[in-house]
Amino acid sequence: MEVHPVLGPRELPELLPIPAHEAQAVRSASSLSSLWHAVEICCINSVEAAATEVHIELDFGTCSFKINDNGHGLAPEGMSLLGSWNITSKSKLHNQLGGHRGEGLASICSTAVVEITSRAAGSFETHSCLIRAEELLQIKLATEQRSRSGTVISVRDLFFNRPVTRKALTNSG
Amino acid sequence: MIINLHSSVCRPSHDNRYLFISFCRLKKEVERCRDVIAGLALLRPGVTFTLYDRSTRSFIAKYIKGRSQVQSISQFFNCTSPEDLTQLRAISAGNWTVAGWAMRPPQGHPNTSRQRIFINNYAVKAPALSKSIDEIFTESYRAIIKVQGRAPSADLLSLRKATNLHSMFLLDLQCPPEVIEVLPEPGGGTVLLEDWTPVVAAVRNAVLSAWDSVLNSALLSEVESHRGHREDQVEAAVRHASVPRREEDLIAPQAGASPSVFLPSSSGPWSKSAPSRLGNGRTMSSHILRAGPLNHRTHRNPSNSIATNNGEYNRNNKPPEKQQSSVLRLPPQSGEPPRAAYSTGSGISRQQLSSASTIRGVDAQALPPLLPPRDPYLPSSSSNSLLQVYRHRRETSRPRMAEGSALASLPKKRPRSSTPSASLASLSGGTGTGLHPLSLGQETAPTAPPAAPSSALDVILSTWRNPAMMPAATGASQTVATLDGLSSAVFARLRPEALAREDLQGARALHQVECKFIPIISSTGKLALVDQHAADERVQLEKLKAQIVSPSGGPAGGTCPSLQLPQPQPLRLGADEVPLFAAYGEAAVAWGWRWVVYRASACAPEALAEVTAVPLVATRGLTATDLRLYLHDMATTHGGAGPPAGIIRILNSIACRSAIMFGDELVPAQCQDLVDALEATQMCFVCAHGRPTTVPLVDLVAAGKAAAVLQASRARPNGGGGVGLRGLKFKLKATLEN
Repeated sequence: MEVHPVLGPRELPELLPIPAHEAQAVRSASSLSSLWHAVEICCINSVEAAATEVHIELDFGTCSFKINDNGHGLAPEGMSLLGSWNITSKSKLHNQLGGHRGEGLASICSTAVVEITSRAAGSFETHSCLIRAEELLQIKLATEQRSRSGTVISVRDLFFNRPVTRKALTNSG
Repeated sequence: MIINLHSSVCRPSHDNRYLFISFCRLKKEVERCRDVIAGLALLRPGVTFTLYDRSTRSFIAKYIKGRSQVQSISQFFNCTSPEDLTQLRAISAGNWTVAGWAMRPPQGHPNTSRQRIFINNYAVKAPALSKSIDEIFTESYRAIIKVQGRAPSADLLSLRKATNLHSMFLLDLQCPPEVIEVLPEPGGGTVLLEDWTPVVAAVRNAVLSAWDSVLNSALLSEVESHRGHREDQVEAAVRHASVPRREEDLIAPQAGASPSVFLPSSSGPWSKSAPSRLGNGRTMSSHILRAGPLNHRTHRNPSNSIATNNGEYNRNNKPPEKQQSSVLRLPPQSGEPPRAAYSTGSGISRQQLSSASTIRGVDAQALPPLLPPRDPYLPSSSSNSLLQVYRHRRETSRPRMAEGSALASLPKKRPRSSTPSASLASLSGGTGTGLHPLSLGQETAPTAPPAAPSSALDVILSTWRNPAMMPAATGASQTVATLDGLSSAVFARLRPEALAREDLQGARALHQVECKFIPIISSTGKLALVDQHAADERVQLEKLKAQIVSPSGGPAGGTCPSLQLPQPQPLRLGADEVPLFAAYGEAAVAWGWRWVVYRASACAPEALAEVTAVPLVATRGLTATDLRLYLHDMATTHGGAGPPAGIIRILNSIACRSAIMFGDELVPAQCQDLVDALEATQMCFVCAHGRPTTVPLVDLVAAGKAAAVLQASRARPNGGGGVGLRGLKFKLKATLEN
């Protein structure tokens, strides 16, 4: 009877889950590749919020942009969930169609400093929240109250924790 | 209304290749953003999109709501001829509805950036549909290019460019969302379907219908076969075809005949549907076949089969009389392009042919010839004389360079010395330390006779060295036995070595000189010269500093005005910098900085500080970098750094710009005020940028003594020490020794 040698390590490696932040970093890298992709994600969100005006300000040099729309805004209660994965306000129908799985804004928040200021339709208050690296830093009443409903998403320092992507982007910017 | 305000005319500097490459990539990123916004704006005419670039402070694109969809699509396609923009009529294929817009061939684009597919108003990627439309475009367009290529005047470069075009289209598909699956990708996900056949067929049919005026016979046949014509009617038409008919016969509408039109569907290859009409008012019954005089080959193709109204093939049936006027046009074999003789039969108008020959307007002959870059360091042909002069000058200067003498500016076009040895001999006959202009002239201009010294004074002046240009050390140690030594010593005593603050106290300002300097006479009898700009700069700086900075080094009044930044400035922090904020943060806050520190975490290994407000000094704000420098200065000096370097920099700049300038006329009172104000400053002899404000010239007391000695020697010419220069020297020596 032939004896086949056993190849490989003597002890099999133990299967361990990847840390959550690393897993989310991988997800973010696969779903967000460039500044214009982030702009596209936010613009689609604005359009789906029934906005009739979408103003985009870009700054490639600092990897930042700002989008201001006059959609129906975000309710203050839901702002605490912003930046989390698989959180969406779209209907199931839209989810199936456009691939909206709640990853767009979460991808941006995981690799940038995001400040979201929103006034919900029917509300008189404007709230803002600050998110960095998926961490919700603060939620408060905005210092500048909006005169109408809508949302302002200010993204700064995009890809701060992805130095290779940022370097490629800043070298091109 | 659509406005594209971003200019693509900016040219980078050609000297910096890195900037040129990065500029191209930046432009690509900007273009990509604009394409994304354009895609979102195409099917949303009721939404305003504006794209603004902060770095260039200009709008890249503007799409104002209320715009016409046709206008926006024309703008997207960059359509110059509106008649080439065709709308795809809505076609239903099962659960799918196909509609959209397309540019009729030969209008194309070098890449696929003008191809957009929307499914339920969302941009997606469907390679199967794009490929299908491109095939139609290629088949109906490249044939024309090949025909043009055979022409003797064909431009190969333009032809090659023209053959690599892609179609331009915008598809708007509607379907139930459950039948598709989208793989999320940047720029629109890829759509997955179980079966692409019906969708591709519907899209193809819609495109063929829209482009029927420019299709070749093969594609037209496909259009016809899609509507379910019998193959036996093709053979019957071949038998009855005799002469080519005019185009009017082919397109004569048949009022009575309206056979069933067959469309492919999921139930079977042929199924009845409502009769349809081709473009330009033609119906199927009249536009079955077209013929040419030369090509009578049959072409059997199952797709060209023609079915009767009953849906059965009947080879024995003759065609209706109304169809006898139609002629047979058999498609060529695969791979063979339509001939030029059938230009009208192929559906391509001659106008289009003529326009195809000058596609893109590129004319290689109009391009300027490429010239090699000219090296700026090489002299051109027009500067040969200068080059020759330069070489001659270099050759003539070599003997002098060898002796270690520095040549002054030589006259141009000096003839070359024919006897280098003679020039060396003349050099050696000099003082040995250098040449004087007289000897130069004698040596290098043999035609001009050397001038003999006119008097002894010339000899003295030729050998005399100005002691003012001698180093100061030679004044004290040099012996006074020689006239040079004596004059150097006198000059050294007459020139003050230094000025002190006491010299400025009670100084009297004289009249302004050349609107630049103010001569003053100090209380100790020294004559000095004050730079009016430097002096006033120091005065202004001290005034500003007193307003901004307290004597202890902190802000005056305890706080400094702060400027809120519209966009926070990021500041990446090292591991050793985060504690500085805690240690010296109060001092920075007192100066007006405000920030938010994000500590490092597992998701973000590098700490970050966002500066939200900066100090405001005389309408000028500092930066985040100044904050970092200030914190480092505080750490280095253990909290004793004084005001931030950025504030000092701003104060220096303001003081310099607001000070009296060269050229400003000052009355004597103003001169005196300036001198008094300068004396009151802390650092009265240095301006804000380190330049001296006052320079001493002459010690008037010593000069007075020297003048008294001279006067005494004149009064007693026969005094001790001899007469003339000898006596003078004796007296001066006595004066200096005393």
